[in-house]
Amino acid sequence: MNTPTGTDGRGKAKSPAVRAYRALLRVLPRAVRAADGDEMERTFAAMWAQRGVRGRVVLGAASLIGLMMVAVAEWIEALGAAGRMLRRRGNRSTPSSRRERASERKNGSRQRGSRAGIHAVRSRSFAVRGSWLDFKVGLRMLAKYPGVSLIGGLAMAFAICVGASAFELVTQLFHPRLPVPDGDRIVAIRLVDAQSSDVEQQATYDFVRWRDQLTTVDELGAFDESSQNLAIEGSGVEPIDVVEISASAFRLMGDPPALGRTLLASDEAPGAPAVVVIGHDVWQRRFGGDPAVVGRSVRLGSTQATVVGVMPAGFAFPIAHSLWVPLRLSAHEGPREGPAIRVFGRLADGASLVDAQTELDAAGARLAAAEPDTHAHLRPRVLPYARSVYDFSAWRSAGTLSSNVVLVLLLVLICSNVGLLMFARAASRESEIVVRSALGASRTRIVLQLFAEALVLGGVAAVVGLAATGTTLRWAIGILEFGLPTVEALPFWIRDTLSPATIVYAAMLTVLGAAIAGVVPGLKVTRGLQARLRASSAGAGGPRMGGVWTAVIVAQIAVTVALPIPAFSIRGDAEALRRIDPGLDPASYLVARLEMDYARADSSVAAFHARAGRTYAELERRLGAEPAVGGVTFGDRLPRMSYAQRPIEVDSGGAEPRDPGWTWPGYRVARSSVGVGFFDAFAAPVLSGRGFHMADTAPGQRVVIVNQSFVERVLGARNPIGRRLRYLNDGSGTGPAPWHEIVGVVPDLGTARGPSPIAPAVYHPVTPNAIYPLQVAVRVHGDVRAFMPRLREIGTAVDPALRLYARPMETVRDEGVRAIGFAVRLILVACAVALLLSLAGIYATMSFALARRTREIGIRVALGASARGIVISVFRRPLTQLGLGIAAGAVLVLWLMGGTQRLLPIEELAVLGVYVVFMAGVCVLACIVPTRRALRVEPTEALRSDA
Amino acid sequence: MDETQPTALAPRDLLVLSVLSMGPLHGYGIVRAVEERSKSGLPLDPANLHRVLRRMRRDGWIEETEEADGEGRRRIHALTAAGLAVLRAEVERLDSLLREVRPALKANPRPAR
Repeated sequence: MNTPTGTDGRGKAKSPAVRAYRALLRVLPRAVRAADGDEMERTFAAMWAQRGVRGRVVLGAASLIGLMMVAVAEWIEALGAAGRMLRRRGNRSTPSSRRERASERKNGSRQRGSRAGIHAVRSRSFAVRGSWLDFKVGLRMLAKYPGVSLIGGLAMAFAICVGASAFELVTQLFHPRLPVPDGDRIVAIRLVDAQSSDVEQQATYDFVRWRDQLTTVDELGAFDESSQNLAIEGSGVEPIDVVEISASAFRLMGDPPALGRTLLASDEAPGAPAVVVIGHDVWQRRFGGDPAVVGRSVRLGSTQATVVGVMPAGFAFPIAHSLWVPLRLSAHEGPREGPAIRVFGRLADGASLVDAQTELDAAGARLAAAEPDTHAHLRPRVLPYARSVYDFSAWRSAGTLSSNVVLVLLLVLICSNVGLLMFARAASRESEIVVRSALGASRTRIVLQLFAEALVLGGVAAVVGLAATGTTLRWAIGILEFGLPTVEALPFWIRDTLSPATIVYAAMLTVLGAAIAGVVPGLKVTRGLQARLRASSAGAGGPRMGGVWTAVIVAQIAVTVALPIPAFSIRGDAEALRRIDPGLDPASYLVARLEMDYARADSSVAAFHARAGRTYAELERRLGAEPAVGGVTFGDRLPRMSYAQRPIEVDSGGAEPRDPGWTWPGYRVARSSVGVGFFDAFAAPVLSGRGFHMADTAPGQRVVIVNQSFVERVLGARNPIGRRLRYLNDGSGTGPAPWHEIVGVVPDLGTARGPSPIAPAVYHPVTPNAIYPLQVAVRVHGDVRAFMPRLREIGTAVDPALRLYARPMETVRDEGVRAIGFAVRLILVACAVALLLSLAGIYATMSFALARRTREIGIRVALGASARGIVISVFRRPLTQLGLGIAAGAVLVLWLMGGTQRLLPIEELAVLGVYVVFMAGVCVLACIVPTRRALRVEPTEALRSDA
Repeated sequence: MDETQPTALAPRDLLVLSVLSMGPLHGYGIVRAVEERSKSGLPLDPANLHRVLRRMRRDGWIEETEEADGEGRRRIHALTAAGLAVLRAEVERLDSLLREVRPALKANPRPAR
């Protein structure tokens, strides 16, 4: 069994395949290896020897796969057994445990069991005895090698910070929990139409019955979201998200109010005075934090209400709200009638989700029997509250898995680099390691010590990384709010705080990182230790820095050099966006989205649109009378907003070539519906033909105005007046639309999409009752911001329920600009990390090379070599790596530029040059510390150290 | 069905038991004997083989002895009485199963080519 490594029992050399198989057996748990490892190797060797080339390929593949599968199975069993053993420790001497232990002894490998046991006991006692000392040594090492500690620590901190943040976010998204006591017992009840799978929100009829009947759900309540104007004396009018909610919500959450009181059940009575509870941020922002706010009167929509309480910061139930009014539901609402509500409650003591569902099923069946017309297909469903708002559970496993894989890969990559540093450090302590080995330390013992050192470094890094997690999380939440277009504000349970699970996860990442950064270099540096011990000279045939690492460092430098190119390209796009002439001065315009609510008087959608049109007309009339206003108009889109892109064709002979980025047949144009006075309000002259008249909005009139880009790109600068265009079938199956006649041409008016300045656009004339919601543009003489309160005031005077979401046109930006900002920041972070890792690599190779050459340098100094000569010889390797990296980076840059099909302008090349020089400078700086150390080597010391 | 074997055996287990019923063998001997009998062409890989052997040893179906040969000490695996009973019960189970299903083929003979 104990044959010397590298030979079989008869002293014959083993084939490389058998040696590889032997090495692979390490994936098995030690007990299995001890019991069967030799036999498995022998079987494999015999099988290998008896096969031809093809048979060996098959055998190799089958053995590898089989070994991996067995390893997984054995580890699962071994971990399960370890868990059982830990649990048994509590009742150590029960007869059953004795019996189990006896049977384990009997069933374990009888020949080798005792020896493996002794080994295990010995290594455990080693670990226990040595551990504190190991950690103390680790701390000392941190101080002794500040460069390694700083660079390695920062890199690990980055990995842990990113890992922990992403884990926290993924957990909050996929496994949402309400941050209140018993948060997982808070539930939502939905009414689902079993036929269409739609959620029926007009559930007042059902809610009233559930509230009376259900025993498994307490504190049953409901809410209804809306937007309304909040008018405060002395602070103007502003639209705000309002939630009408049952008083039980406040009992459910348990937060006491910061001022005054919460809503009460008595507020819900039909004749009760109108009251409102405000959130902390509304209190601060709209009331200036007025301590006497309770009792103040405000107007909400068309109702006058009294502020009765202020909730503390962070309270945003049900989703992300900060203004609550009582929910007044009529108990006489018919089935599937009334407002759209959402129902919530708390599971009664002792009731489970299943109990609640069972009771609801029965209630649903009763209602279905009583109201077969409306309720035959309605099924009540109870589910955890947090999952009722955003349900990502369908992606839960995939999302959790993929993010974990990415995070662990990132950690492995970064910690491999840190491992390189640790390897260099370990290699420079080779003499110490050889001596320890000579004094009887086993290889395991030495590797364990290096692991402990890495763990100390990782521990410090974990603290730094976790401290930075708050900022990272806020940043990530910002991206999420931007990236999920349907989400205006994330629900209150997605927060930038760390859960205990995340801290455990970070701890696991730290241990994994320490294993990569400590154990792998430890195994490498202790390989062949016995042979070196026999040769009794540290350094002879010692560990070497492999070519793989050189390649890794060169690749990292290359990537670091090339990383700014995408950033340049993106920034170039942003510049192009900014350079596009919008054809107007955005500084003198206000834009406002006009919204209203359906009223009971609106008999149909058309009636509602007609009322919205009348309201706009009145708003336009009153605004026109203001001396500060130079013009008012509307459209479904306004300049600088994102326009809908549609394919069209023209009646004859369009221009070539067409837009290469457009996969539809025909030409891509921006389509917009605008008011008749649109171009006058934007002071855009009609370049040829005529402008719109009121008569053009009559049914059956199909006239359009196009812009300058349209004439150039689509018509090849030919005369457009009288030509016709039509929209192509866009997949809706309705075929091409009717023809429209072009009657005029206007200049380009901020219709560009993305970085391209070319933006053909087609304008259709409409009346204000044809589109909803309306985008209103107001040209203002003087300060547009100063006019905003006046605009809202006029809006409220026209209709108190009219909501105007107003902002200066200057703040209207293409979403592209924001996305660009995020991308540039992301690339900057990646640049910094790549630079850091390259530095770590160069520093590591430098330290390592110097440690190996201490003796040589000492002798050279003794023989009178100049400092310059030594510096050159020392710098040769890292400078070669740097040079190779920069050359590879340049190739990468050229390739990337070929991809973006644009040459770098001279100033960007200059920036790139400065960046490369800076990077090289930083790399040289990383070499200086070890070089200074080398030059201080005294010849006597160098010779003594190796004697 | 007897009590020693509540469920059907995996084909690999059955093959290992059957080759050991011919006499004690070492690991590679089992591989060779199994490969001679099975027609799959895929080799029985060492890791899985020894996992199967470990399990059978634990269940008392086989026992092992060490013996010296020209290449050092190696382990020989032999079927126990319990193992033989398991094998016998499985073969009987398969036999009776085949007796039940064979008439189905007689009713639907293979079409002539």
